[in-house]
Amino acid sequence: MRDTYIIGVGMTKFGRAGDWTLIDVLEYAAARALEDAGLGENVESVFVANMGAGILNRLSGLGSAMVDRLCLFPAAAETVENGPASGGSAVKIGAMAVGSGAVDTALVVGGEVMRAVTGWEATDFVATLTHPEAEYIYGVTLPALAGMFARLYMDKYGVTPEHLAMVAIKNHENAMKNPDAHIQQTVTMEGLLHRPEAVVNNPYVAEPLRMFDCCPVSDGAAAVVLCSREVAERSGKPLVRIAGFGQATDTHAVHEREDPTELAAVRTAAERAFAMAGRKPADVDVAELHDAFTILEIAQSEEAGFFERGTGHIALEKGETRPGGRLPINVSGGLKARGHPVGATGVAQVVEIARHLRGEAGERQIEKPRVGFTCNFGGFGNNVVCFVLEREG
Amino acid sequence: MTAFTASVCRSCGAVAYPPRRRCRACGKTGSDPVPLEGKATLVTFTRVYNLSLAFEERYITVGIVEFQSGARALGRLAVDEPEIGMELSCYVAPVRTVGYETYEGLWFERPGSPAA
Ligand SMILES: [Zn+2]
Repeated sequence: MRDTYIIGVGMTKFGRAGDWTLIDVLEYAAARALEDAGLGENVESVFVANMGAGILNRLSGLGSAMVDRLCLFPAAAETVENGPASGGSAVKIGAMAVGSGAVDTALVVGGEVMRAVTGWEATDFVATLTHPEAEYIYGVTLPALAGMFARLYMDKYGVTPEHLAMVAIKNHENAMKNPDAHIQQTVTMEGLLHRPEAVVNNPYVAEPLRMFDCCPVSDGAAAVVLCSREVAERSGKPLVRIAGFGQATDTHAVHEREDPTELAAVRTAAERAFAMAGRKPADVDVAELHDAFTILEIAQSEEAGFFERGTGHIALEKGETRPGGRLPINVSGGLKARGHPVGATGVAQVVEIARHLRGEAGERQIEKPRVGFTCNFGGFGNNVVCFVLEREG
Repeated sequence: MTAFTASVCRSCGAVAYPPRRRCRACGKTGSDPVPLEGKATLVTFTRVYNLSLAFEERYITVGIVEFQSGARALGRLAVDEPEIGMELSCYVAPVRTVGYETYEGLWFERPGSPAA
C-alpha cells in the first residue's frame, strides 16, 4: 500500500448547532478542509461519517447530499456508520482508498447534530448500539456500561473518584485553549467532589460515575482531505502522513468478555496501528484518546501501551499526561470538554493531531511533536479504530 | 414466566448467552439450548439515573452475573445494597415497556427473597 497524507483539516466549533442542520455543519467543516488543502481540482472520493442521521434528523444518503452541497460532482460518495467510531472508520476507509491507488484524493467529513432531540433521547439513541436483547431492553445506556466497568476497574487498581476528577479537570483546562471546544469552563476538585453542593452540581449518572465523568451531548463536524504523496508534495503543505491505522472488534454484549476490566479491541487496534507505522508507544509525542467517560482515558492510556496496566492513573496524578508532560493526552479537551458529536469525533481527533504535527495548534501547541496517536472507541469497546500520524521533513 | 436460554456448543461444550449458533471458542456451528438458571454470582453493577421515559423509577440497578454453568448475563437487580461476589438467584419479569410492547428480562435477587 502506498502512503497517504493529510493536506487539509477543518472543523466547526462543537456545541450547539442552533439553526444549522446536519448538512450545514458537515458543509462548513468540509469547506474549511478543502480550502485548507487548496486543491486545484475536485476530490475524487467523499466519505461521510455519521451515526444517527436516520434516527435523530430523519436524513439518509449523506454522502450524496454532501457532494451536492459542495458541488463535488461526479466524485464517488459513501456514508460510513460505525457507531461512535464512524469517524475513525471513515478516515481509515479514505486512507485505504488513497493507499490502494484507487483514488489520489479523498474528502472525509464526520458530523452529528444530536441536540435536535432531548438529552435522554440522545442517550437512548446512543444506547441503540448496545445488544438489543441482552442489554438495551434493560434500560442499559453507555453510561451504565461505563459505570459497571469503572466499578471493577477502580476496585482492581485503586483508582479513586479523585483520579476520575483529575481527568475532567485536565481536559476542561485544555479546552480553555481550544476555541472549537464545546465546554469553556474550568472545574476544581473541591467543586466536583468535596463541597456540599457537589451532590447537586455533579450528581451520579451511573455509579460510580458522576455527571462530570461523562462527555456532553454535542453538535458539530470535522473534516480532513487525504491524498497521495505526489499531490501532498505539490500542495506545499507540511507533510503529515497516516503512518499506520489499526482496527479491532470485541463481543457485542459486554458481559461476554472474559475479563470485564480489559478493553481488548483497544489493545489490538493500537498494536496494529503501531505495527503498520513501524513505531512503538514510546515514540508518541501527543495523543487523543476517546474519553467519553473519564475512566476510559485512564484505561485506554494503558491498553494503547503508553503505561503499564494499572498505572495510568498514577501517570495522570504525576502530571505526565498534561501539556508539557511526558505524553500530553487530549490537549484538545477530549470528548469530555471539546465535546462528542459522535460521527465527528474520530475525524476531530485526527484533525487535532494533524494541527499539532503541522505546528498550527495555536495556544495549545505541543512543542515540535513528530508522532501522534488517536483512539476512536465505538460501542462500549466493541469496535475501535486507532491511528499513528507522523510529521515528515 | 418464560425461561431464558443459553446455548451449549455441540463440539466443545462452550456456553454462550445470548445463545450462539456459531461457537466463539471453536468456530464450529451447532449448539443446543440450555436454560439459564440456578445460582449466580454478581460480577459488577451500577445504579443508573438518566433513564429513558420508558422508566418511572428514579434509578434502576443493573448488573452482570456469572451462573454456575459459566454463562454470564446482564440483568436488573432487585437488591438494595448489592456487593460484588454476592450470591443471587434469577427470575424472569417485565423490564421495559415500549409503546404497547412489554419486554421480559432477567432479574436477580438474594436467594430466598419472596419475588422468585
Ligand atoms: Zn465450540
